[in-house]
Amino acid sequence: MDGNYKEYNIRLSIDSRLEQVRVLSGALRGIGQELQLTDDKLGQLELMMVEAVNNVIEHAYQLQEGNDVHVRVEYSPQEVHLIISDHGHAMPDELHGGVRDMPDPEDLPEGGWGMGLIHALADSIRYIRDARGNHLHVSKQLA
Amino acid sequence: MQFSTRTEGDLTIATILEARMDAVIAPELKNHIAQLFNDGNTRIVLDISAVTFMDSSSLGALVSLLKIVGNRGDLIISGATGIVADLFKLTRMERVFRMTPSVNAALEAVAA
Repeated sequence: MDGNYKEYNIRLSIDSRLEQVRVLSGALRGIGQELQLTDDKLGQLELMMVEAVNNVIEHAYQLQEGNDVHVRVEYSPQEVHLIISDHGHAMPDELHGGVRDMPDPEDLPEGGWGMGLIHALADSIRYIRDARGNHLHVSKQLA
Repeated sequence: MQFSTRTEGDLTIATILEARMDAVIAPELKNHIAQLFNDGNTRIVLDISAVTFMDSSSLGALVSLLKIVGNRGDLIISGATGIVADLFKLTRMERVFRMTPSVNAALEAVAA
């Protein structure tokens, strides 16, 4: 076994229930701590993942339980790549249509920040809709 | 959701005892603090120093509380650090909330 092997491809999945998202977060934190990510990077990855998974449950599955949400964590020393996949409805165009602006704070918004936060925190982002469902790819540089 | 309350003069300090504020907690957070306000505690310091993670649904609950309080009282958010403080900055909502680094700083600001 190559002791220097430093790349990982970890697959996680939960049911489409908001109360299971914290378990996913715990798993990501455990992975990040094991890989010695900084608290800053790990917090940013967790926020991106949680916002993306909340969007899946709310929009792709319309808050219906009993559906799978998959998260793939691809790690290399240079980068963490998260792929959030589901088999639900296509995401609304306003969620993935180009760069997202945050809502105006003066309007006292109570939501609508999710994709804006992901865009602000990710180094790259890509949304794919195919026959199997939705796939959101987000990357975070570690160097 | 677990939180504790204490009073300092006419301020009510509500300390969140959860490490995580997320989409599950958000409705409870809103209901509990709104109830506190409706019970006559109109000047509230929400101490989130123990919170290590917050998502945008909890931020939305705080905005909702800010609207409930309106100009009938105060809602001060204290102790945001790390990714929680980043959430307020990235969304620019730190401009809308009255925020202090600690409860003591909130008490000093109110006394000044």
